[in-house]
Parts: sequence; structure tokens; C-alpha cells
Amino acid sequence: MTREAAVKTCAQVLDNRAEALGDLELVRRSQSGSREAFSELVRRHQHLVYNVAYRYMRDATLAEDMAQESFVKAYRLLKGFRGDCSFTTWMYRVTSTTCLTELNKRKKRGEVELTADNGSLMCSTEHKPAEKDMKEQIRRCVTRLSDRYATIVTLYYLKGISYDEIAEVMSVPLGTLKTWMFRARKQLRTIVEKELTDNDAVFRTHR
Amino acid sequence: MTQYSEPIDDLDALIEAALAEEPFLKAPLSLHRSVDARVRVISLREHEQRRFSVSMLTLVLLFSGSILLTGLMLWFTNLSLLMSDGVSGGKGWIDYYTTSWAMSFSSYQGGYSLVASFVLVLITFFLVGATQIHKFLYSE
Repeated sequence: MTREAAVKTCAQVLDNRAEALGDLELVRRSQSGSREAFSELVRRHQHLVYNVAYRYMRDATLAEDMAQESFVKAYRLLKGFRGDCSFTTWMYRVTSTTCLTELNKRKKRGEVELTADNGSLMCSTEHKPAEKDMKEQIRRCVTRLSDRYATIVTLYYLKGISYDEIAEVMSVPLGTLKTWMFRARKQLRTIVEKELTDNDAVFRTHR
Repeated sequence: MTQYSEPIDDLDALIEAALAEEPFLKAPLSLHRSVDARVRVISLREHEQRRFSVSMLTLVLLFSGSILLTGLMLWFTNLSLLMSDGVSGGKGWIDYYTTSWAMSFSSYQGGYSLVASFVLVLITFFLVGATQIHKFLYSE
């Protein structure tokens, strides 16, 4: 066996071992300074974190930046993670906070979102907004909810997250979460209604 | 739970569908690599910070230790008395520095060397400290 092959086999064995470990064990190893353990945690949770970030930012590049930022933040804060909740739940919290902080910064700076999608939607004189665009527009409305409502709606519609887990992320009782969810839907409906009415008016003016 | 999530009309159904049907995306391949690279930089930085703290602490401890030790030695051994009375010719030696210190330094060459040695010590400590700070600031 050549040296390269031996090294490759060793790396594979180590990778397999890392894969066999639970999240909490990997967290413990990361806390003791193992970069490989943290890398494995990133590999496991990257898709979930990216999707949470995408749902807040509604832009692939920004979502990647925010996902990166969230992992870096998690690495810095990992020493304070005591294992009271699962690492996934903790990562949801870190990602949500990172994205909301960025969104609030952008709101304060008065940055107006001007994407190609938006442009075509608002200025098209030929077609009414397609259903696909309309759905995307509705999804964008979620970011206009207040911080906590945006978080619960984003997490609720993400695959595989239970109400219990969202309540844990938000550190609130289940009953409170249900009330928030009810209010969030109501608020979202108002925003969507206004948005769709405005768009319809623009569409009629351009015609 | 149903009383909160049941669609009421078309708009509610549309909102529900829009949010529920959003596809689960795959993270870009560059994400893992970028995070790994940034984590590597952070851990190197932390390592340098620790090294800096340890070296600065050692420096401060050595400096204060030597000052303290000198003070204690002078205090317990009563060195000035020992040198003036206990050593043959000691008084003259002390007198020599006291006089050279008291008078303008132009008269005695020994005064210059005494002050120069103090300055040299201060410069050494300053340089060692500055080197560590420079390493800390530009280590990345």
C-alpha cells in the first residue's frame, strides 16, 4: 500500500468515526479545540442553516453569507453551549438572530431591495404576476413581520421542525407560541393583502 | 392546534400553500469550505492571542518580580549600610555616586553610565513589549 493510500484510508476511518458520533459528542470535542469535530457539525447542519438563512434573506448569495456568519458565530459561542437543548435547536437560534440582526441593520440603513424578480413583477405591462411569482412575493412578506413572528413562521414551515422545538428555540411555553403563531398569521395576511392590492393597482396603471 | 392553522379563505390557503411548498434547498458546495477556512483563521488568531497574553503576563511578572526582589534585598540586607560601613572603601563608592547624582552630570562620567544603564533597561522592556504588540496586531 502506498503512503498516499494509507493516509487516505486513515482519513476515511477518521471520517467514518466522526460520522458515527452524536452531535453532543462533537460539540464536546469542538469545545476542547477540535476543528475536525466542528467541521463535521458544519457538514451535518449546513443545509438546514442555509435554508433558514435563505428564508430570511430571500437571496442565495446573502443566505450563504449569513449561513457562514452563523457558523462562525456558533464557533465563537460554542464554549457557552451547555447542552440544555439539541445542537440543531441552538443553531436555529443562532442563525435566526444573525439574520434578523442583518435585516434590521439593512432596514436602519434604508436599503431598498431591488431584485430582478421584483423589478419584473412590478413593471411588467404584458402579464399579470404568475402564480410562482406571487408565491415568492408572499414568502418575501414574511421578512416584514416583527422579529419573533418572522422567526416562528420561518421555522414552522421549515421541514421537520415541531412546535415543541420552535417553543424551545424561542424559550417560550407552547401556549404562548400558539398565540404568537395565530397573531403572526393574522399580521402576515394583512401584509400580503396590502402587497397584492398594491401590485394589482400598479398592474392596472401600466395597462 | 387546528383552530390556529386551519385555512379560512382563498387568501389564507394561498399563503399556506406558498409557505408550505417552498422547496428545501441544498447548501452551496463552497459553504463548508468557507466556514472551515474562517474557523481555521479564528483558531489561529485565538492561539496567537493566548500566546500574546502568556508572554505579556510572563514579562510583567518577571519585571515586577525583579523590582520586588531588589526592593526586598535592599530592605532585608540593609545594603546601603552594609556597603558604606561593612565593605572596605564602600562609603567612598556610595559617596561617589551620590555626589555624581547630586551634581550636574557634566562633572562625572560615572553619572552618565548609571543613567544610561537605567535607560537601557527601559528601552529593552519597551522593545520586548512593542515586539509582542506588533506580533499580535499583524499576526494574521
